[in-house]
Amino acid sequence: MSTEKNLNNLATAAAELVLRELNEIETRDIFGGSGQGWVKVGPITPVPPVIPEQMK
Amino acid sequence: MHIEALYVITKLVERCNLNCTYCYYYTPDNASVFDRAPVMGMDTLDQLLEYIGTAVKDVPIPQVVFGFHGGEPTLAKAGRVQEFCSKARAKLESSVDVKFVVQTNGVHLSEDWLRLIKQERMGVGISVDGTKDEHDRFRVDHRGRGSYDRVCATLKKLRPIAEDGHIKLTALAVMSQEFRGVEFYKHVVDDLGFLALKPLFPDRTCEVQLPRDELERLGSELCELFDYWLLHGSRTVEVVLFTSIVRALLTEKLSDKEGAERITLGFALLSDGSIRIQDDYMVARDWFWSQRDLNVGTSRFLDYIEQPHHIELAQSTLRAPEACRGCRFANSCRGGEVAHRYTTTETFKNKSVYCDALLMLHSHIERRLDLGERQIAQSDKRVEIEVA
Repeated sequence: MSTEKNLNNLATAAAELVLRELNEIETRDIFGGSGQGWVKVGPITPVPPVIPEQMK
Repeated sequence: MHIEALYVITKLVERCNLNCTYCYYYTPDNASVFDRAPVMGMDTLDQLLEYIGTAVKDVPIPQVVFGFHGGEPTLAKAGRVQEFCSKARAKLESSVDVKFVVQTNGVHLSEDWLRLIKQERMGVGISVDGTKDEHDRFRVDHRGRGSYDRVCATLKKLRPIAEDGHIKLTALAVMSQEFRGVEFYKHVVDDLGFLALKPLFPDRTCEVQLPRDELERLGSELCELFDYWLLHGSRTVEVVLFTSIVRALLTEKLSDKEGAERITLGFALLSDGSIRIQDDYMVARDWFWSQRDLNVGTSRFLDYIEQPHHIELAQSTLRAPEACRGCRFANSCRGGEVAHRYTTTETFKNKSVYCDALLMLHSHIERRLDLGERQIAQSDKRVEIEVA
């Protein structure tokens, strides 16, 4: 039981770490340096940048 | 190649008030240190500023970090260092971000040095090997006396400056054979109040293979420490080794293509004006001592980065060695620290001498990140990333 609880705590802490670090990571190279993109995490899949209407 | 920063290890004082048992600097190979001036002169520091001023014109460098180093740099008069910092800002800050850090043994910091550190918002690295017993076993003065109590007295003065947000205080520790990760962490964070830790692998090369059980024990200690940090301190405490692996693994997942070739360059300036590859590579003995003789007053930074030794280092830093081909962590680990791959015949083409421990740690962190990602997937949480 305590092992399961420990694993849950680790998963929660790891999830926080992943989210925090993704915000820190320089993403310029991932999307090619322009626009604004979304990344859905878990599993991590880059989604093409969303281009605002006025920029089209 | 994109240069992120230039780290200038400025050996302000080439003597030390400690006589650590594992010191890499005061060795027979480096006996010439005693032929050089104990303290770097102001004329050499002025030449350094001219040298860097030309360097940032010749090569795109966004940030220059002057790392005051030694010997023990705080044996220099703080007023002289203050003068250098002011001159450096005046000369360089219009074209480049300038930062100062000091690496000290923490045995004694004068009031003038404390004021200087606060005023210049210097990053401060202090060597602490663990508890009093652990620390005093290795970090002794010239009379064989341990330095732990004196380091604690210094920390008492530095902590308020760090807590006020003026400086970042980092504990540097060499992981000895007796290294106990969690105990070390608890002591340094809970008892001594550090919020940044830099555990260091001892200076070793592949010339001598380490016993597998020793590497596995070290790997286990680091994995256990990672879990403890994750649960107890990852929001507030930085463990440089862990953060760099986490970022490397996440970045690799995010990107299909290889990242840009980003690199932090460094060199050491000795008290006589000699320009040398940074100390990390002294352990690669034959290679290190065959580098070009360069001086800050008679050469340019281009001479330094165009010498074969530096080119080899840059290439070895940016890419994992051939020996790592087939390893799934080849891109995130890149073969560990370059100096730890060295042999006389293959130079830096080997795997790290710490490969077994690094493999355990990378695998462990990857599993923890997968656990976190699954947790996030369950909550379908999205994170917005700003792309500049």
